[in-house]
Amino acid sequence: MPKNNNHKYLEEQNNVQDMGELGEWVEAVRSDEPSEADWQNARSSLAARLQSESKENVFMNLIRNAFAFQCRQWTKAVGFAVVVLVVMAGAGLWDRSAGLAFADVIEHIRSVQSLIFTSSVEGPNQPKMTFQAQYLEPGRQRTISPEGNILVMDMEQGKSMSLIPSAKKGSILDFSQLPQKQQSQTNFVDYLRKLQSGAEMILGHKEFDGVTAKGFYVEQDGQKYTIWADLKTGLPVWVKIEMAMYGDMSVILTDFQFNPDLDESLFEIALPTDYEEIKMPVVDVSEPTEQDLIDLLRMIAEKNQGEFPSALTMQDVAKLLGGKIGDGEPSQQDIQDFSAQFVKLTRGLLFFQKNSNNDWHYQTDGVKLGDSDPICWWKPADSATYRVIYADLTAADVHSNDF
Amino acid sequence: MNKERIDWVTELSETYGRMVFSSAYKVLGNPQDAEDVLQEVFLKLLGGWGKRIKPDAVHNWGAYLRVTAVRCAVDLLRRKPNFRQESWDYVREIEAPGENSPRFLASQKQKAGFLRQALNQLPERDSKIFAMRYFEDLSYDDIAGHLKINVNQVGVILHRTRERLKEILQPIESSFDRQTSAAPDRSRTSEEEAYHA
Repeated sequence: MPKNNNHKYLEEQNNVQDMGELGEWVEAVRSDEPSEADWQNARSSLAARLQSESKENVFMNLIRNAFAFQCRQWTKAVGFAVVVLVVMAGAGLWDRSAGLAFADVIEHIRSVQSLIFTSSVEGPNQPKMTFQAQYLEPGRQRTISPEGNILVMDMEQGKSMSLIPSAKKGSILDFSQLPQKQQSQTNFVDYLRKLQSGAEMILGHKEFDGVTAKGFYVEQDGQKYTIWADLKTGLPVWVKIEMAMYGDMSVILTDFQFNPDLDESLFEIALPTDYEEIKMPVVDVSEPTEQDLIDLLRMIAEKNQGEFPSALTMQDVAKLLGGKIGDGEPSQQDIQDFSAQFVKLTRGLLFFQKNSNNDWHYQTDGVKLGDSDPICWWKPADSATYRVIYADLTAADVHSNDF
Repeated sequence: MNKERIDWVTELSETYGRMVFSSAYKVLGNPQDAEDVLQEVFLKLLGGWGKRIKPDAVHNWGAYLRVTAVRCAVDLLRRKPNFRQESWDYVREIEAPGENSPRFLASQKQKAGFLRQALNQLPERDSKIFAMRYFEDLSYDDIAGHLKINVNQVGVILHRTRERLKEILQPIESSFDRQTSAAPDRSRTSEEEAYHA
């Protein structure tokens, strides 16, 4: 037996048939096959997941970077407040008609008057962020970020309040100009309440901390919901919402406490008397337009010697804007300027997201602001021509034959 | 995300998805976890280091995905704090004796569960190599290539792993033989108690 074939000899000796009693255990595993139904379920989920991957991961970055954009607390809090508002407006772009009740489980959610839960926002290759949330009818939600910052939203009033307890600063935003329908879709409880029954898939049973739960999967309005509900009470124990408009971002809701006593004062939109108010600019929550994208590109290029971001993600955009936002204690003007920049940035990215499936192209290699080369182009739905934005930030309709 | 890349991964999943799911299931023993692995294996090709792997960079995608499935499955098995412990009660509740009977099939399923638990007690790399070789019939060369170790090392690790598994499973084997051939009895044997302890 040649020395270098030693392993071949060993390999032949190491077959299952020659393993004696151990071979029987191995055979038990080898013959243990999943059912065809299990495979078909897994296959459908994978296909849906791969399909959702075709969307850019703009929104996960957007929310994550709202916190991590700069290290200082004030920037995070302002970014969070603004991004919630602007993304909320974006949700309306994909808004479709609301539905009926989702059988028993949804009926339980609908009957809830108050709720405490944990929401974890996560995506592939992204750190998970966990928030503590409290909900009180009608339509009020209080969210505490990992840093301890607080966001209170009141859908009835159309207002939100952002508090930074560590700095004793806060701000109040008015989003009442949003259509009522969009306002009502801005918290997860409302998302669940609007689910419809009839098209859900049963996922079987699973244990959650000793509770046997029955699983449901349903897709509605482009979003995917996986809901595991306590078999005995019908109340949800684990909910996952995969948001199509946010790319591959998903939110997992757990640790539910139903109808706890929650003090009304927790949801008041009024700054504590010892807090300094951060004046927020008026936020444009209308549908993002091509001009928003152009404004975003101009803003970044002008701050970076004519250089455009290499990709339209929050990370790339933030990389170019990084360090441009001043150090030290911010003045009111600093905060206003930052907020305005953040709104522009977010709106520009929302416009990109809205068109990301329309044969979107973005290419800036070696191109500088003012050049005549095209930097991005896409084919709007129902259009015979491409819309092209050039490096001098002019735009034109171009037929594909001429492009 | 690059559409061409997604189309390619989708095609790959159509060809090898069933195999990956089955490989993961053998290690994990339940379809939910196997589904998690299925997604992990293919989504890895779209993100992180995985997106840099070109379609023609892998000579044998079947072997590559099979190895990846086993690796991911063993990793998941180790992350699960409440990996289900097999119970004797399952077998005892099934009254019908005999070959190929429901009782026999259930006992086979239970044996598989015990082997999975035993694997979970071994060093991670040893478990992976054992599963690749004996659950998936991968060659020494394939295993060594994917794990970047010497081929002879594979043989040594397999020998050691088999011996260790025999030690773990032997008391259960004795008990199992008695239990599956005897009339239903709801009390645990001392060996079982020792194992469960």
